[in-house]
Amino acid sequence: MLKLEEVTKTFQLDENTTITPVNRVSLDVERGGLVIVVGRSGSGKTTLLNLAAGLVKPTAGRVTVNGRELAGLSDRELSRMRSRDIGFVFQFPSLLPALTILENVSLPSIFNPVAAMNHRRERAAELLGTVGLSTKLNVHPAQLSAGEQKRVVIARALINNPGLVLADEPTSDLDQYTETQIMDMICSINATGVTFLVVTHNRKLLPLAGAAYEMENGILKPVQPD
Amino acid sequence: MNIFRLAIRNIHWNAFRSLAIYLAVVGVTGMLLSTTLIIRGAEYSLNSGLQRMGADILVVPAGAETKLETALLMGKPTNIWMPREKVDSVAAVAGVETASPQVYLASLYGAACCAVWEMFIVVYDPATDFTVTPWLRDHLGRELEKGEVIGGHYISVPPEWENITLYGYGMELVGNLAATGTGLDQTLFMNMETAIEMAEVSKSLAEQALVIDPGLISTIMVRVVEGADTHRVALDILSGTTEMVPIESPNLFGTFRSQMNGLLWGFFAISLLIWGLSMFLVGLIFSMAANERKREMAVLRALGATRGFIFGTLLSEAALLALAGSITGIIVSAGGLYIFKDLLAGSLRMPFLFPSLPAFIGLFSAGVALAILTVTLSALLPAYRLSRREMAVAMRE
Repeated sequence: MLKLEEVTKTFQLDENTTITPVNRVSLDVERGGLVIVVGRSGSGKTTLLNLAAGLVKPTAGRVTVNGRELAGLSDRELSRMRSRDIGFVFQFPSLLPALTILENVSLPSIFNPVAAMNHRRERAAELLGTVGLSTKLNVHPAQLSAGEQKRVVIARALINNPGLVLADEPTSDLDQYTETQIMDMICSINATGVTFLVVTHNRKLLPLAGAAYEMENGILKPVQPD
Repeated sequence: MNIFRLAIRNIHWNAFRSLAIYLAVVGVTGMLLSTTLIIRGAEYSLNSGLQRMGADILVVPAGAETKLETALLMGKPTNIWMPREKVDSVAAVAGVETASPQVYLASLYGAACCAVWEMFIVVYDPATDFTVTPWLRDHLGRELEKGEVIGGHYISVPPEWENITLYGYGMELVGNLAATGTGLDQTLFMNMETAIEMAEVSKSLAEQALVIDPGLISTIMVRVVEGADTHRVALDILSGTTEMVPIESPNLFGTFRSQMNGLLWGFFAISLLIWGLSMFLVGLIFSMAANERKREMAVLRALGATRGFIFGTLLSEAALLALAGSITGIIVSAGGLYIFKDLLAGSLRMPFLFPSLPAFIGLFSAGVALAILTVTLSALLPAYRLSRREMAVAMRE
């Protein structure tokens, strides 16, 4: 589903300083898998996800999604691929404040030409029901708690039935109870066949993973899920 | 949800920013349209006035040009005279089709014998007239009879009077000419027969008798033969005389036109300058907005939006605000001008006639198009930069 081969990403901060948040990383995420990458802040986890989604271009190496190498795609093709094949759960608050949560969830479907236009709202409402927010369809994100917002973001990531969901710290800033709720939700969605690549600093999530890795100073190494 | 609904939601959500842009567009569009309408309205009024007179050349006593302009523009009575025999000499000039004399009179000021004080009166010669007679033919189907008058657009019988009484002589108002926005709208037209009877009656009923010297006239309205060179005819009228001056109708109100144009084009230039500055500020507001929203746009990109979508969303917001702002600005300024047009014409001492509906629709469309174009252009650079921004970097900022 997702393959990274010897991927390196280097940023030039100024004339004399470069940083390499991702260094010769190889990762193979099987279809239907749940892969968790743990690591401390600044270890390169978010850059790894951005590389996987084609949001940044690798300095070296190959990134392949569904057998298509991202380097060979135009910006328009990348956008199309992101809208059809990839769902995103961001670490930071990413809901559009001007839209209701129903509109937020249905938003990515307007970028997907194959999504049935007249069923967008029904599908969004259904997903919000799945994440337990069917009574709050027309509220704005600011009226929701952090946990509820995270659930909306997960629902949004699923609106276009993507094969792959990239989740960046899906349980950060959440209390223990909500954290468990969110991870249960991810696991149950994963059980339906959706592939997940989750990056987190929270090692407590490792037992949930089918495959687990640790990222340190840009280098990825496998760890035991248990 | 589509690009326009998203733009509308963002406009609603960022109400303060949207209001600032909207008000800037309302202000500058309104100001620009107001000055344009005043310029066009004055021109339209002058042209309507010239059309009403129907003359290709006006012949006036030498030195009386300004007095004539003031009389025709503001309806202020004037006292200009030249010998009646000049009509024959003008009529004899090659290229002159018709030469029609007019006598300018005025009602008395502060006199009980006059229903309207200091009213500008034009006495025409029915035998040769082409100013009023065509209108009479079309609207009444006959000539004016003795004791009948027609008025400019704003002439009416005063409420406490039964007729238009001047110098103690009552006259029936049988019609009103269409508005021209000039002094002709406050002018009374009568034939010489009526004027002579009014003068006769004034001897016994008026506080001051009206004296009409049959040997004197005020102006000669000249119509040239079709195809003739009007300028050549004017030069021929001028040659051999120092007592009268021919004014070709496009040159009539020349002094006024140049003063008015100088003033109004100055206003227009200032409006354009303010427009430019406002659009610069609108551009800055859009830049600030784009900076605030870079993470939001990066999220949209990550969710599958193309650069074109991001670019289009921001430009749609700009275009929608410009559309709403310009329509409001135009309606407010045009409505204000329409309501206060008489006050405006009076205070600026200039003729004004609201442009015709097709002309106004043209101005309206041009105003809206200009607003959308310039506001969208102001948003172009910020929108372009935002759409090209590195997504991963924008998400971290």
